[in-house]
Parts: sequence; structure tokens; C-alpha cells
Amino acid sequence: MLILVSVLAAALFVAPTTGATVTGVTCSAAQLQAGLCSYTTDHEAIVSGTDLVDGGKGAPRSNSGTPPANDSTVSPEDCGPLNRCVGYAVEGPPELTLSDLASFRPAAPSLGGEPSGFGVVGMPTNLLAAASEQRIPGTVLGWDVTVRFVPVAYVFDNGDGTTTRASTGGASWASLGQGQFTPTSTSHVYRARGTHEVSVTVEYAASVDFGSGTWRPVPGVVRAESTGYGVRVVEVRTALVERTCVEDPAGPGC
Amino acid sequence: MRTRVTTAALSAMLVLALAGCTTPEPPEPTPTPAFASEEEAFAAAEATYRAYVDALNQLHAGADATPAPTDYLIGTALEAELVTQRTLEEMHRSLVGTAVVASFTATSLSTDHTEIEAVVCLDVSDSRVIDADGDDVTPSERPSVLALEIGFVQTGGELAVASSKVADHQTC
Repeated sequence: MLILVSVLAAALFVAPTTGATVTGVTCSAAQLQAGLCSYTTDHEAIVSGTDLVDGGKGAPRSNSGTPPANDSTVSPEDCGPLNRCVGYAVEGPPELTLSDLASFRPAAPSLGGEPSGFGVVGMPTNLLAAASEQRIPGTVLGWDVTVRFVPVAYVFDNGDGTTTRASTGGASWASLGQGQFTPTSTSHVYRARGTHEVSVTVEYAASVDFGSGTWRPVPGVVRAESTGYGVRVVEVRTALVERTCVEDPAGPGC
Repeated sequence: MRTRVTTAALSAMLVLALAGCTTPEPPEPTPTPAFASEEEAFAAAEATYRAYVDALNQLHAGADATPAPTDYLIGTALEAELVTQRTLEEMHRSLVGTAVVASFTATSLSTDHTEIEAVVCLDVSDSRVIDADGDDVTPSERPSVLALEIGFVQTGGELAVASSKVADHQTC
């Protein structure tokens, strides 16, 4: 069984450019639906989806091998019942740059704020962004990969010409255990009335898994921007409160 | 899985051992009603595969599929199905829409009528892969119709899908 597993894993790493056929690969109905089946067409082998076999970690690979010529015509090889071909070409994964990942786009972050939709001149308005780690399967340079985007920084455009850079998307006052209109790592104090169009740009660190389970980091960051969030900043002159600031120091306006 | 195979092997050995006995012991409850004809076997295989795809579609529609798609599977087909489900779960992906058996062509039948092979054209063009947000993330290179080579085995009086492979030299 172990042998089968590693052979299958090795077969999945055969570079598609060699024109080698991957025959008899298991493909269930659900796998086909998920786009996880490897199949051949008249002119190319398409090895799609991620490595389905956990044992892929043990498959030997080499970075120093020379990739075979693109236009070599290799006729389908009978690889026996074990599908164990002798002399298959194994190519190490290439070093990728962000431009290679141009077709992979992390989803736009979501943006909100406290109090919802408005702020008060001279008092902190809490801005909240949410972005999560994303894994996107696809093909890069003929390799079947999964690209992972991890949010590393949140840059809030406060809409009044200032920006706030934070390592997290922020948290609500309630979850921080803080009172309303208190400063947070993502809050902003508006100095003037008006409606400010706030947006957030999330910087994602990208890494790529070639099916081996190892994440190879790609230098640089990929940015994704949220849609605008309008904050109507008002001036507050009076407020009807339940208790005085002495009784409730965390109350509004205290 | 392994225990099922082992059980099957052991019961087969037991039947063989019992066949040599002179005192007729009560036979092992392993009914193996061989199909009366080739047509009957092929029809049963087709019914099994269609029932499996129906169960899969029900599952992907969010319904409680009974029997579950995995109930129709055994061996590598079952393993592949479980790995696929796990992979999708880990990637926070799910399948929606239906797969359609566009054609079913039985290709071979073993002499004891317990193993059947068929080529199925499975149309998945109405099926999409969605992510946790419900966005369509169906791989663009996914074929919409693909020929699959399906192997069936008879187990416990019923047919089960034992293998499902890409049928490279078949077109749909």
C-alpha cells in the first residue's frame, strides 16, 4: 500500500509539459465534480487539483533536475498494473514570484465600524475589518498548486487623508472590554464633520503548496481592498444619558 | 475497510472448508445469487451506479442522503470518496449542483458474474465548487464531461462500486 501511495504521488509530480500520460488514475464522481481528477486530452496531460494522497510527503523530489524539452513527443507508456513507470521525469517545483500568482486573488476583506455608520467629532470611531486565511487551488506554470494567503497587515484609509496601519483587523469595544468611544488599535478620531468614505486594504503574505504539504513563501504581499464604508461624522453637543460620568465612567461622552 | 476484506476472505475460506465436510453444517449467511444473465448483471450495475450518483446529488443538495453515497462504495472507490470529502472540508469547499450519468456502457463481466466493468460518461457541467462564502471557485480546467471506468464487485448479494478511474481512451 505504501509503495502504491508513493508511486501515485510521484506520478502526480510528473511535469505536464513532458506530454506523459497519467493513465488509470482514480477519479470518483465527487472528485471529478471537485476538479480533482487527472486526465489526458489529445495534446496534454492535465493534472488538476491537489495531491490527494497523504503520503506525498515521502515522494523524492529534486530541484537540480533539468526540465525536459517542451516539444518532446512521448507516446503513452504502459506502466504495468502498479502504474510504476521507469524513467519518468520528476521536476522540482520552481521558485515563484508574485507575478506568477497574478491569477490568484484573495477575497476582499469586510469592513465595518462602531458606532455603526457614524462617528463623533473629537472622539474615537472604532473601525473593524475582517479577513481570513484563504486557500485557492489552481495551476501555476503548469504546476498544480494551492496558494495560501494569510492576512499580515490592515491599512485603513480613514477617508480624511489619514491612514492607520494595524496588524489585526481590530475588535469591537465590547469584546475588548472597553467602553464606547475609547481608543483601540484601529480607531480613528475625526476632526471635522462630514461623511468620510473609509476603506481597508489587507496585505496578505502568499505561500504556495505544490501538493507536498509544504508551504513555500512567496516574497512580497498581495493586497486586497474592501468596498467603501461610509462614516457620517457628527458633532455632539448634548446627550441624554442614563447615569453621570462619575457613576458610569465608560458611558457615552465620558 | 480492511476488516471487511479480511472478513470476506475468511468467510470465503470457511465456505471452501465447509464444502469438504461430509456433515452438512448450516451454510454461512453469505448469499451469492449470481445473476441469471449478462443483461441482468449489467442492469444491476447500472442501477447501482445511478443510485450512487443520485445519493451524491442528494448529499450535495444538502439533503440527508439515505443511503449515503459511501454505502455504494467499497475499496479504492470508497477511499477516494472519503479523501475527497476530507480534502474539500479542509479547503472549506463544497459541491453544489448535480452530476448526470450521460451514458452507461457495460464492458465486461467475469465468468462467475461477480465482477463487472463499465464505462460511464459523467456530466458534471451543472455541478459547481463553492467556497465558504458561497463564491463559485470551480477550477476552470475541470472537464464538464469525462469518461470513467467503473469496476463493480458483488459483495453480500449486492453490487458495490469498487473502482472509479479515468478512462483515457474513451470519449463521451
